[in-house]
Amino acid sequence: MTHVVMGLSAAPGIGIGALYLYRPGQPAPVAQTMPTPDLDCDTEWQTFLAAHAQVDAELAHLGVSPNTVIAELFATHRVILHDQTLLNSIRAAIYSEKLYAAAATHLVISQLADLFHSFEDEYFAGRATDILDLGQRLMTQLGAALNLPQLSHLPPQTILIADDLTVSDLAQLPAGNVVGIALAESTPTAHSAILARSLGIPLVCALGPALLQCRPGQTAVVDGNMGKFLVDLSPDDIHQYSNIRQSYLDAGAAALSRAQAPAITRDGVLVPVLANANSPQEVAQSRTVGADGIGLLRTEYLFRGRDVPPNFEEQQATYIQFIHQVNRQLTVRALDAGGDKPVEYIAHHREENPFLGLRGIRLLIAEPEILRIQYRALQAAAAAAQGQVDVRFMLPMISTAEEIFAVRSLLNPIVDESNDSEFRLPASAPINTAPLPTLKLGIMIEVPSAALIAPTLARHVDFFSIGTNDLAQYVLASDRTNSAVAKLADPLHPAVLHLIHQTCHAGRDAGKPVSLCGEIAGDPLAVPLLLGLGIHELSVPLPAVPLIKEVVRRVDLGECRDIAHAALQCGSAAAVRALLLARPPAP
Amino acid sequence: MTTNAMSTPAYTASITIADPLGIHMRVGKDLVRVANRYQAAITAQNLSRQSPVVDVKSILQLMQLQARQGHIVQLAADGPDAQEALTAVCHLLDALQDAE
Repeated sequence: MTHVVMGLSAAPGIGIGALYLYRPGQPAPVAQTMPTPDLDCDTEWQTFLAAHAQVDAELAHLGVSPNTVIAELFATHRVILHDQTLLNSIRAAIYSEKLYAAAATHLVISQLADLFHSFEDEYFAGRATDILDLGQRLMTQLGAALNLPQLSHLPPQTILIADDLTVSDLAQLPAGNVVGIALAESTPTAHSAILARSLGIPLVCALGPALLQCRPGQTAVVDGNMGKFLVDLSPDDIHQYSNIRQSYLDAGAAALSRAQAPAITRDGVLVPVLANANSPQEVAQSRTVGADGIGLLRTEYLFRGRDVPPNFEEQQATYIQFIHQVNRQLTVRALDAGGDKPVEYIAHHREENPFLGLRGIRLLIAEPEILRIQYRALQAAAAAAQGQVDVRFMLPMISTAEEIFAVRSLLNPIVDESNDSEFRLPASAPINTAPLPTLKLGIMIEVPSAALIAPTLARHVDFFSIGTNDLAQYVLASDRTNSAVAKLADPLHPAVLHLIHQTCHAGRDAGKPVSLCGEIAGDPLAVPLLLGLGIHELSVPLPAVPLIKEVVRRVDLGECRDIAHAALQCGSAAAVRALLLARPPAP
Repeated sequence: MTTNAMSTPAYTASITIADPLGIHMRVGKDLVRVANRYQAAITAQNLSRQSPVVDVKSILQLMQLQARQGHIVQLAADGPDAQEALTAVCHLLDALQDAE
């Protein structure tokens, strides 16, 4: 009898394969570590240093990963590798304990991992994984691998189940072999979920501790589209799910082949389908997947992991490059930092509740130079684009009209200054040179107050972009990073849908476009509903662009409005979901 | 920290960790980088956990503080540039938290 467990969808796709149960954190059995009295200590130390240099080069190479999550992780591992405590301990184990380089490394790594495991604080105890990771790299260079669960050697067609996975666990998965991941814990916003999406591995999380009781080796299904995990499958079920998976893949391939064509609904309305980007690599890929542009460039990556903010020239060069790489639109979100995602050079004061604290636009108004330089750099870059790309600047976390006024007064002088020395053209420039363009200025609608006063805000901005992830968490008062309550922050909840509807109404009345850039925009099931609520543009995770374009091509806006009307009458997110599922497939 | 006749006076500072994540890996990495710019020996002890006294120039030792939000950490620097070193370390932590 097929057993279905419902969890949270964290990365899309369907995987079918053999279960592998991963239980990390068990200390490796101690290898032969007999002292050798006549050991040539100098040679062993040199052997170790050679392995150390190899691992350093390996980590430096991995650290340039286009995946910023992975890059930061390996940068940290490199700091551990050069740690004096580690080096001194290994040196002492060779010279005083008379151990071979491999045995000395094994001993020191095991002791450190044991020490960290003994910490009462979960986060710090969890760092043992990083130490063991690094130890394994060293041991491999020394010709002996630690006896750890070998994620890097998982066979093809593996479904990986675990309590939780760290980013470093995921980073070592062999490309293509893991076809699905099911986790007892974790949330769709955890780093592991972000990474799984970027690796294209279906992931379902928050499945509960019973998950780990599943018998390894048996066939299982991870349905990342529906947030389901299936075990104890009958041969018929396996066959049926294979068909579902194949048609999903076929649909994806078909969608990709048509990705470059515009997405026009059956009744002839063009819906721009844009991509969300977190890194230069994602911007560079946006044309390949057929994105009509970048609807949300998260610029935090530009500002983090450094001692000073990026200056005007650096940002201008970056934005010029991006403008050349996108199809039609580049919407740059101003730095969205705060207590929950700090940047090094902005003082953050202690906050009991960073999600309700000094973040987003609130922080930028307190640090106006960062805002001014970012705007100025984008403006100068847009001037170079000569109007071929629609360049927009977007403010995060707006909750009042006064914030928009404050930003306008902070930015306005820049428009007047556009003839100052920094931008003055050489005397030979044509006399009718246009001044720097005023960028379209828009706001994120992610705080309930902003949605409720959208008619007022619409008069003062050029566009809205609804951020459903944060909007849902604020409307339903549930932290989306806390697995105990994350399920409540469902963007399909009617309370959220009503606010989306009101925002779209306000945008339409004022003639201002309304886009939606939350994860929900990338859910094929939700797209007809969103269009029916009045969304003009969708900005979706990069890999979802072809499929979402295909969905748009199959809908009729009149039908979409009927769906939206019915959804607004629903009493729960579950009822909305049932409504969307019951809808007959589009022709 | 005691001061002996051979060394320059030691400087100390007591701070309350305000970062919601505590002195986590990424912050620790930055602390280590800054601390290593100075000759002075810089140590830290998490008074709230009665942790061992650790070397701020070592990420593996810093993690042993298991410093969380609200914990009181005692910093000390000793050496020719001790005062500058302590100021720099406190400044970095100030960038993330208000010292009390």
